[in-house]
Formats: sequence, C-alpha cells, structure tokens
Amino acid sequence: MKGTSRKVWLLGLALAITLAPAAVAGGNPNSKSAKGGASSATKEVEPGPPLALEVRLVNLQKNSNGGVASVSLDALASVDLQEVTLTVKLPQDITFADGSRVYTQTINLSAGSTFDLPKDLIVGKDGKYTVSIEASGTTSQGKPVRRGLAYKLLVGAQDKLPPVKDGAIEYQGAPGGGN
Amino acid sequence: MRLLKTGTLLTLLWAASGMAYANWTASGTFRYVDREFDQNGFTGAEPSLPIRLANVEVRDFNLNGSKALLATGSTDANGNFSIAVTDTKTRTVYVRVVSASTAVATLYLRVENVLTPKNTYAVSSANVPNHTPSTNVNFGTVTAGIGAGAEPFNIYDVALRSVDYLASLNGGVRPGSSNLLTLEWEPFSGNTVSDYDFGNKRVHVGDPSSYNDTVIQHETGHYAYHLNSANDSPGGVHHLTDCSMDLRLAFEEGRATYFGQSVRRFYALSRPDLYVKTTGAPGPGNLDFYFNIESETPYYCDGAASEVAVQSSLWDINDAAGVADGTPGVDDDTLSRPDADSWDVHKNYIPSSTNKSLEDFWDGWFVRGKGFKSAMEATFDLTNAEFFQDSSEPNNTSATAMPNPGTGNPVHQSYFADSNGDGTGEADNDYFSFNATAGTAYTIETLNLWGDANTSLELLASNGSTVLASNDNRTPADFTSLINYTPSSSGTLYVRSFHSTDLGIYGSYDLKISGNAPVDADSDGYNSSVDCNDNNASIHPGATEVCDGVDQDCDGIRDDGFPDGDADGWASCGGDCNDANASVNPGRTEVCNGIDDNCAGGIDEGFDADSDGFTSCGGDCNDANAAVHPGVTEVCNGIDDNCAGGIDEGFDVDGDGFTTCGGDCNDGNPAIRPNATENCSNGVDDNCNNLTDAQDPACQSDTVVITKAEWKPQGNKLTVWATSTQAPSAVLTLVGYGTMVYDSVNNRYTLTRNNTPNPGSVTVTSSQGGSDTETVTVL
Repeated sequence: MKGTSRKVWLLGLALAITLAPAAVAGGNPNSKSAKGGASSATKEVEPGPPLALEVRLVNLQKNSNGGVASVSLDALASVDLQEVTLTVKLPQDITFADGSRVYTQTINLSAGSTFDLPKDLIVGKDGKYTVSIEASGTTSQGKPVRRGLAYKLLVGAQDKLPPVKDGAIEYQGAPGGGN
Repeated sequence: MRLLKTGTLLTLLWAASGMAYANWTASGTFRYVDREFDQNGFTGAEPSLPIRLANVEVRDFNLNGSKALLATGSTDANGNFSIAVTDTKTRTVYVRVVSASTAVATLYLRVENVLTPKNTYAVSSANVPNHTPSTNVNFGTVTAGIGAGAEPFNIYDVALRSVDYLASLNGGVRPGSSNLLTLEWEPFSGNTVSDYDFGNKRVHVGDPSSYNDTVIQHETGHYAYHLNSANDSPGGVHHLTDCSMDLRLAFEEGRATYFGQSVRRFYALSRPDLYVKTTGAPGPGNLDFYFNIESETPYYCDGAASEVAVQSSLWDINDAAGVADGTPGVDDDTLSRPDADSWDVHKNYIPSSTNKSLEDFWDGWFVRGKGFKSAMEATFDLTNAEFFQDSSEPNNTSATAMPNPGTGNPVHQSYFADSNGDGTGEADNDYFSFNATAGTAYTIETLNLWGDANTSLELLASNGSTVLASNDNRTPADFTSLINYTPSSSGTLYVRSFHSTDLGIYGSYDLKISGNAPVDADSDGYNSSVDCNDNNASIHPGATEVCDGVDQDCDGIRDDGFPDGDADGWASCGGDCNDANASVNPGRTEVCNGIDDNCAGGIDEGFDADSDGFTSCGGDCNDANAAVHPGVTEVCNGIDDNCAGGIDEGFDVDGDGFTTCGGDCNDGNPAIRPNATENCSNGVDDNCNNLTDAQDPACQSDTVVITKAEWKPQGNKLTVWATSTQAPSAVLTLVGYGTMVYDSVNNRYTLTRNNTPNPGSVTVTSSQGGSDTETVTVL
C-alpha cells in the first residue's frame, strides 16, 4: 500500500495531467515519457514492433487475362531503425518489370518517417495471389525488429463471403475430418 | 387473414387425420480445421478440432426465417450434438453450427462479421432430402475448412478458452449475460490490427489474425480485466521496443499478454511462452513477428515502464519448471504461485489504486498477503524491476547519508523504501555525502534509468538543508539529472536524490559524483583555475607584462602599460602594424581591400584563388581562371580576357555586331552576318549558315522527298521516285540524269534509267526550290 503522501501528490498529478497537453512517449532510453493523456482507454490495440508495413494498390491496368498492378509498399517507422532490409517475394505468374520475382532493398528509417516503394507487378493471368513482404532491421538500441505482411492481390477475381441465410453467413461444411 | 385461415385448416386436417407430432433426433459432430504455429509462423500442421459449445440449428432447407428453424441445441465439449426435433412433415432437412452460444447455459459468446449488417457465421451439413418426421438422422462429422468457415470457429474456440480460464479464476462462474463477449472478424474488411473496445466489450480481430490465437487471447485479456479489475491506461499504439512507456499502458498491455499466455499454459497448449503473429497467408512460415514472454526475447527492457518487462514479471510468478515452454523442466525463477493469487491482486487490490501499474501490483501482492517476499524480489529483479531497498539504505536524511568518494564510480540505487519490511514500498529519498575541495569542479549526475526512475537531484550545503544547486531533467527529452558545481570553500556537501513527480514512485538508477581538481601544469605556482596559460611558466597572475601581444599577468589586457595609439587593444610594440588605424592589428581578419589588415605581412592574402597575381578586389574579373586578369591580350573567344569590361573587343571590323569567332563569315561586309536575310539569287551565303541561295531553307518553297532510290545489278537499272509539295507545277530534276516524269495517279515523280552504273546517292531538285538527297539501295 502506498503512503498517503503519494496519494496526495498523485491527485495533484492527475490535475496536472488534465490541464497539460498529452505527450508522446519518446525513444530516448532515459526518458520516462510525459505522463499525459486521459485515463481508461476506450480501445487497447495489439502489441507490435515499431515498424508497420502496408501495401496499397495504386492502379490496376487490366489486360484480357492478367494485367499490370501498380502497388506501393509503405514502411512506417515509429523509432529510428538501421539497415532495414525489405524483401518482396512474388508468387508464380507474377514478376517485377525486370522479370524477377524477388526484390530486396536495405534502408535506414528515422522515427516517424515513411519509406514508399512503388513497384509495377506484371501479372500473367487472372487470379488471386499472395505477395509476401518482410522487413527486418534494428533499433538504435540494437534490438531486432521484424515484420511480415501478406498482401492479397486480386486480378480479374473477387473475394466475397458466402450468402447470409437467416442471420448467419453460411459456409458449406465438408463431410468427415474427425481426427 | 388468409394465413390464419390456412393455419386453421391445417390444424383441422391434422386433427381429423389423427396425426401426432413425431419426434426425431438430429445428431452428429461439428469440427473445424486449426493451424498450429511456433516462433517461425505456421508449422504446416492443420489438425481438425471440435467446435465446442456452439449453437446448432436443425433447419428446413427450403424455408426461410423462423419457419426454417425446426429445433436448436448446441455442441458439447467434443463437438457432438444430439437434438430432439418435433416435426410433422416430410421435408429436406440439414443442420448448421453457428458462432454463438445462446443455446449454451451460462455462456455468452458470439463471433460475427465486421461490416454492417452484422451476422454470425455458420457451417452447414449436407441436405437430407425427403426426411420423414420420425426418422433419426446422424449427420456424421461436418468439418469447416480453411477459407470455408474454419476461421470464425477458431476465433470462437480461442475466446471460449479465455472465458473458461476466466471462469476458473472466478470459482467456475463465467461472465453473465450482461457481459457478452463479442468478437468481430471479416476476411476482406481491410483492417489488419486487432483491438479491444471497452465500451462495447468487443474484440476486433484483424484480417490476418483469425489463426493468431495469442493475439486474440491478448485482447480477451483486456476483456477479463475490464470485467474484474480496472485500468488507467490511456490506450493507443504501443511498441514492444519501448522501454519508457506510460506506466499505466505498460501494465494494462503487459497483463493482457500475461493473461492470454496463461490461458495457453492453463490448458497445456504448446509453447505457452510464445506470442506469435503470422501474416495469415496459407502454408507454413509466414511469420509477422513473435516474442517470448519468459525470456523477453527479442525485446528486452528494464522495469515497470515496459509491457515486455511487465508481462514477463507476471508470468514468472505463476509458471513452473514443468511448463512446456522453450526450456521444459527448467525455470528461471523459484516462484510458482497459483494463478488465483495473482488474480486476487488484480481483482481485489488494483481497482483501489491510482495510476494502476506494476508498482501497484507489487504493493497489492503484499497487501493481499501473498508473501514470498524474497522470491518475488528475485523474480522481478530478472526484469530489473528492483522493488527492494538498495544497499545504501537507510539513507533517507542527511544525517544518514551514504558517503560517496566522489571519484566518478557509478553507484546503483533504487527508489524503494520499505521501512517496516512488509514488502510494500514507500517513496524514497536517497542522501549521499562527499568531501568537497574548494575550486574543484564537481559533476553530480544520474544515469541508466530503469523502470519509472524519474530522477531529481539537489546539492545541499554542509548544513544538510540549504540547496546550492538542483536539476530535474538533464534536457527536456532526457529525464536523467545533472548538476555541475564548483565550491568556493572546502567541506562536506550532500546530494539528495528523489523521484520526480509522475505516475510512479519506484525505479532504479546510477548515481555518479566526480570532481576535477585544478592542476598547475607549468609549475609556476598558479593552477588552471586562475592561470590564463597553464603551459607557460612566465604567464600567471602577477607576472611582469612585456610588450609582445601577450597577456602575461592574466589580467585580461595584453601589453597593458604600453602605447596603443588607436586604442584597438594592440600596441605597436605588440605587433600593431598601423597604430593609427583601429581596424588594423594582429587580431583582425584579412579582407580584400588592398591593405594588410591583420599585420601578417601580406596584402589581401588568400584572395587570389587562381594565383595569377590579381585579387578579386584588385581587378581580376574571374579569380578562378589564371588566363583572365587585367593586362592580358584580348583574343576572340567569347569572354572578357583582359577584364576591360568588353568581350572580344577589336574583332568586329565591319561593325555589324558579329565577330569572326562569333560566326561572321565576312567581317569586311556588314551586310553579311549570322542574322542577315538570305538573298536567294546573289550567289552569296548572306546569313553565314554555309548554304547559298536555293540551298538555303529560307529560299526553298518546295519540299522534295525522295521516296525510292533503287539500283538493280540486273540490267544496271536505276529507279528514283520523289514527291513534291508543289506537284504537279514543280519540275523535278534528278541531278545528272534529267527531268523526272510526274505520275498523276500516284502523285509522284519518277525516273528510270537502264544500263547506268550505281551512283551511290542521288539528288532531286525542284524548279521551285528545295531538294533532297538519298543513298541508293542496291536490290
């Protein structure tokens, strides 16, 4: 049980927090982050490394079968990251413009920065494809950071749920499978 | 009205015929395909698991709404169901399992899609057509496959485990009807991040996480503490590498992960120490990231301000050597307390604390009488959450200050006082003393903050209370503390170190006190604190001043006592080369002005970059080109060689504005120059473009294009075709062969010659100006 004195100054702190603007925790290993912000979150999000990956489909030039998908890979760093190696692997029937199916690039990212990698993907035929992206690097404190992402590329194909039947999205089960 | 009549009629028919409601039993098993994982992602193992404690509906395939629903039941712990159905009709029937629990006593769980409208998920059996109402049906085993309904039922099963683990902590009582746990997931909704919504007790499962069991269990951890404990977390994005998180956020996130992994430990699932997130892509591998809650791999942090340290500390309280983690049979701590002990603290102490953090859990552990103080200290020390007194205690006043030699060796300290030894901590003041020497520059600082050690320092006088200097934060972004102080007299000084006001009161740090005593390097009897040149024994306070531009007596004035005519601080005997001009002395910077400003003996040194003897202020109009400066001979080259202000002066004899090197092809005739108008009939190249009269495009009114120029060795036959923009009025001539014939059908001119040698190239000219030349193609 903490002492009464602590309760008193915590009350004062609570008031100070209410009046002070919220601050963002810094990456300085000695900083203890400005302890602002409201209490009792409305949402708690899942844990993650300080690097996020995102793929955006910028344009799809459809051919009679297949096409050219222009995508943009974004790598967003929340802290300084050194030697982040980005690897993009393409499935069968998709290549980069130079005919290869694996692309690798190593970059340094500063806190709050976004690296944008635009790429044209040559898609040989219509279908549903999974493009794999990996990124690995280290923080300035030497901690390894790794992320992976699977981007589903649809060319001349669609993903959709089965129909709703009486309040339920109803899949057809398969007989057997009792192991 | 019509429906009523029909229903009445049916009832009458049933009564008249003597029909009775028949009973039949629908039975079978529902399962789903799971995906197993390890720290590399999916293992590739995809076993079938029972769909447990979920609603089962017996339905008429050909009807909709409530009419289709013939009976409702649920699966048991093995996915089996057996439902009695009352029916009267022969019809096509089937069963489906639904991701909801309304038919399961005391369970309030639902998995639905993300986008509106909201619906549960279901997996259906094959139809049984023409089913008579008295025939039992065993639908066999029906399995939901990957991409075909298995995902929502994996989410359902993972959440069910969390709910039942929670029930085990609460004496076997599951959350009630007002605490329905809803999980939403949809494969193509576009949201990859999972979260827990406190307002709606709803877990959002990100697109790729339908098989990321540990991600789902983490979010259900928030649900468990939401219902049974309390938190002050501000929420929001948080990172595993952040060792300086908001204490409250670190605690809530760390304990949610601890809860989720504890579910896996409770049910003896594989590798409960691993938190794994995959990309969700098919096949083995496809890891997004992972971490180990036991070892903190690969994210290591110290103390309560890190979710990684929080979850690891909480985990170590309950885990044991027998847990099937990465080191089965071995545990890195001696504690193995029941989950119920930790739960009691979360449930019955944390809600009453303020700014809830791991510090409060620590205190609550002892307030709730859980004991094992030494083992707890050692366990939390594994993550450098040093919730115990350091070796300098009790040093809470100047009277009990810990002596420090002041030699710069760091001393590791913790802000943690426990005056009664009961385990719960108190705010701590750490006092230190050191013997200070007058004139010595002292540095007092804190370093290496762990947990929430937000340090503040005060330097106190020999009376132990007067504050001589203080510092809270070294910089706005660095919450270590730093005091630099040079005492004017020798004696004992005190340092008070205390936790600055923030969310917590504990934490660890290093204290360092170091002094730099002044030295007398030149042994002239004066140390560096007063000697203005401690490397020259003839320079020190009291030395005799001589006129040499140097301050011998360290009074701040050079050559004091000697004449300084321009009062610029430099005497002529001290090096002032112009004692009548205050802008000239040895301390000035040389500028390009034709005089020696700095008395270095040169004029404008450094301002003749091309070393041609002329400075930029001395008339050199290009100080990067040694061939350009005043005095050189101007040549015709388009630049001002002699810096006389003109370019190529003397090279335009006819005064037409063009020099010979500037393109004038006749510098004796002003009418001939580059921009003159070409006279098309004077036989002269007037505009100096090397084309005379009709050769000049300016004189060409016809555009001639040779469209064919061929020569066949067989018959030595030359064929030339050409077009003219002035056809047919123009007369085209194949030079050397004669006039070409106009072909009105094809609107072209042609000429063919047999028995003529290959000319190599041909030229066609027009009577109206214009021509074209082409190489002859040999066929």
